[in-house]
Amino acid sequence: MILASVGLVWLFMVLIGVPIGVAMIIVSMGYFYHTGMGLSFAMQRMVDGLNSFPILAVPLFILAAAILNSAGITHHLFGFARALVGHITGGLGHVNVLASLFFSGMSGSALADAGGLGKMEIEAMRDAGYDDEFAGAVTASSSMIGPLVPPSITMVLYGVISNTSIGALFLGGVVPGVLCAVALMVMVYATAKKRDYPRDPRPEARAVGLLFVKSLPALLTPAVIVGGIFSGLFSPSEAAAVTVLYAIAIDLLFYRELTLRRLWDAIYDSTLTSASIATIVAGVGLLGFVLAREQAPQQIASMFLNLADGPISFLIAVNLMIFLLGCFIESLVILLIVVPILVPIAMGFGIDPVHFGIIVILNLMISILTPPMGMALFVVAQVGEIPFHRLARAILPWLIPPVVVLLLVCVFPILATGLPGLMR
Amino acid sequence: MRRYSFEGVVASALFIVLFAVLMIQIFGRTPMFRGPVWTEEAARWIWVWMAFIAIAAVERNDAQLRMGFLADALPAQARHWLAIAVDLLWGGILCHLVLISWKTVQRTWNNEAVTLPASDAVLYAAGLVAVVLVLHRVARRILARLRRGPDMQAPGGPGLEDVA
Repeated sequence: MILASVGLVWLFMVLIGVPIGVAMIIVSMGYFYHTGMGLSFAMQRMVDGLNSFPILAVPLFILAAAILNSAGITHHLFGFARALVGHITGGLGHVNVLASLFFSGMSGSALADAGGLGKMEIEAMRDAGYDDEFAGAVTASSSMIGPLVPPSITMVLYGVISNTSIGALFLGGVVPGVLCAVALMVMVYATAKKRDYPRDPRPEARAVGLLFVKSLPALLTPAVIVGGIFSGLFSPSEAAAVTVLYAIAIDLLFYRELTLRRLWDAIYDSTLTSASIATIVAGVGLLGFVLAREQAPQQIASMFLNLADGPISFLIAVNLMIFLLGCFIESLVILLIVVPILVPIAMGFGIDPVHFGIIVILNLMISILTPPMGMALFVVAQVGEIPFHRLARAILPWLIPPVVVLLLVCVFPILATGLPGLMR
Repeated sequence: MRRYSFEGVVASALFIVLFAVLMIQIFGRTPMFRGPVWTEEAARWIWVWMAFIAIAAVERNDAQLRMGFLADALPAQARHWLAIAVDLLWGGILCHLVLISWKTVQRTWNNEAVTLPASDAVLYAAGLVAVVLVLHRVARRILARLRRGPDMQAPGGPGLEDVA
């Protein structure tokens, strides 16, 4: 009863506009006042929630992406993607997906992709005669590839809360990420064929080569990260710091667009972005105590054990739950509150934590596309100046490709565990 | 509103220090030595201080992550008073958290850090400093809301785009 009240009050506060992390702190404090327990340790729990070395990867990956963005690398990546696939039927639709795949190797966030590349992609598609809904839907759906390909802020957080190897998660997401890109490109091709969308003339091989050389330093970012982690040179947090150093170095050596002012702005904005995540992590440190004291994990575990009698039925139940929650609740909150409860149950069913992590992250990324609370839709509608209700309707068929990939990853664990297995 | 805030600048400076400490940790390792032992703990502490101080800068911009589509559906006047009520509640809790944080600092005063020559109280003091700074920003926001009425600028700013 108390647990339900805590959940409902928190949800109500979030829906009336109280910041997500602040609502967690207020509700937890309310619980402490009501029960008289845990009050004197409230601040200690919030500090301890943040006092973790692996979490350091989050601000550093955010900073690395901000620096690469400030250096104008998105334009090079878009140009290279256009030269590679712009001449195929559905031209700029494919370019949109491929540029997102490239960008995801530098940024760990779907919304950074939607915000960073989105405006450029939508404008180019609009100018070429594509309709707004198609351009917006492709931009939003391709942004979900970001957290599947290393680096990934979502994977870092999942690794921290579930005590799973972040390096293994990084590798585990590569195949599903590429599969999502392929599935979206198939959808682009089919739609473009039906609507007779234009395509670019085939570029000369020399032009493609020049663009490739220009983009190569940025394209190598994920190799630096994963290579460094798996060679034992550095931990994921150290890899994030090395990525920042790499981003600065490749700009100094190749792009030369980063000024001191832009670098400072990137640091400043990344600090504030990290702090808004930190508020939620600190809030989870507090709310996690409330949930543990009210035995929420045990209650949810027994509910799932009643519903599911094997790994497949468990995964179906989990996916449905995350999908439904994702329509209404921010994906970060689901990841930090719901997922820690589910991981031990998944392991009880014999599901590999890397496999489970990739499924959860893929599903959470689908949730940023589902109205009414699809965060990627909000960002794309804003940067592309497309009315939200039109985009929310246009996105629905674009949920099919990632859902198909999700089902494949559920049924064939090797898609997520194969690459990390090879590196062990 | 000015782009940079005092808290944001201090937190950003700490971010640079954090990066430098990690560089020492990575490049301090040689085939002969494992590198300095204090860097990991120092990096964690700097991150806690940086994040907590920056929360005040986020509060200043009113840019915490939020959903609030029910609030958006309310008339401007109702939304205005709701925001003030929420800030008053948040401010009240922050006042109590100042007291709790102070007691936490006192309680941990004699605990020594593992590798740093400092007390654990230095780490937990980040919470105390943060709640004071956040309380200051929330109080100023309440006053600004009361002064400017329902026309006050809607929440926004950096913080939303890099999260999911």
